[in-house]
Amino acid sequence: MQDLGLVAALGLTSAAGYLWATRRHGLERADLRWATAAALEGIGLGVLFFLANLALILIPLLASRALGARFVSIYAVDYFTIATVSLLQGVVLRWWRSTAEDQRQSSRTKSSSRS
Amino acid sequence: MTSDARPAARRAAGLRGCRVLGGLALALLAVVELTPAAGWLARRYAEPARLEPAEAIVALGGGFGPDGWLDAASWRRLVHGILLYRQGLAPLLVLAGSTPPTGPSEAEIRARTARELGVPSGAILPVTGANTTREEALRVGAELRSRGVRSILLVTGPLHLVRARAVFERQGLVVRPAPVGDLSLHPQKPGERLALAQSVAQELLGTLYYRLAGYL
Repeated sequence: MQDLGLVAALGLTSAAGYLWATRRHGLERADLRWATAAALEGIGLGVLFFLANLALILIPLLASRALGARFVSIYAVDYFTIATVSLLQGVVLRWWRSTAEDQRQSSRTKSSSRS
Repeated sequence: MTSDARPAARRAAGLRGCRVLGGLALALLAVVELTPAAGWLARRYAEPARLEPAEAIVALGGGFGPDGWLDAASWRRLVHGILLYRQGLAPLLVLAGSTPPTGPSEAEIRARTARELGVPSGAILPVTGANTTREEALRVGAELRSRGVRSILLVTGPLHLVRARAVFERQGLVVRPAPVGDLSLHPQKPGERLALAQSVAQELLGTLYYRLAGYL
């Protein structure tokens, strides 16, 4: 029941967001496909950041245990926080790339219109 | 292809790969959170209980904070161990747990609590100096061998029991699993399913690590 509620809420807010974007702001339906792809790319980059962050946390931790230095339990690692921050890293990187591409595109357009 | 176009094509292929990875991650999250898959997997992986009389009850550590407070898992395992002792399933309660560089160990704090809850001092054996499951098996195994104990009821989480049982059996002990739930194996909420899936993944990785290190 709780799952149905969650899916229904997600469906309703997504539909409302779609209507708000297309009717109030005149966004193109075709651009939604590009936006979804970009979001998936951001999440994919987030997964890569997660693996890298995890490796950078776990390798020194396991090494210190192997060398008999201070003991830190693997259970103490906060995977949820690492996942959240990694997702943020991935999304920011993806947006950064889009912004840079847009700026390059607009400067090319400006220079070609001048010539 | 021009020299400018080649890096652009590589970048596009990299992003396509990220898109696929992102899609797979979202699909996995949806399966874990919105289907009974995590519970099903955990129930198949978990060690079922076999509560039979033994020579000792071994309650593994579950962690404790810097202020000396036992974590929830540590409490659950301790209380389950005491209940098994009170049921008369074994005459000795072995309490393991992590040991910080300074201050009392988890095992000592648990032993004090067990005494306060009515378990006689002579029936309690705190085992200190271990921080991992393998170290607990090594130290507890050595203590029990010196007392001639061969069979134990092993108290820990049902998922952790798979790896714990294997390392204790390597110490020559006959292990009867006495699982006590850290998490429900029948999760009802998406968050509970995610936490359970994380525990299963953690235990699978832990078992893999133990196998690669030659502990199992």
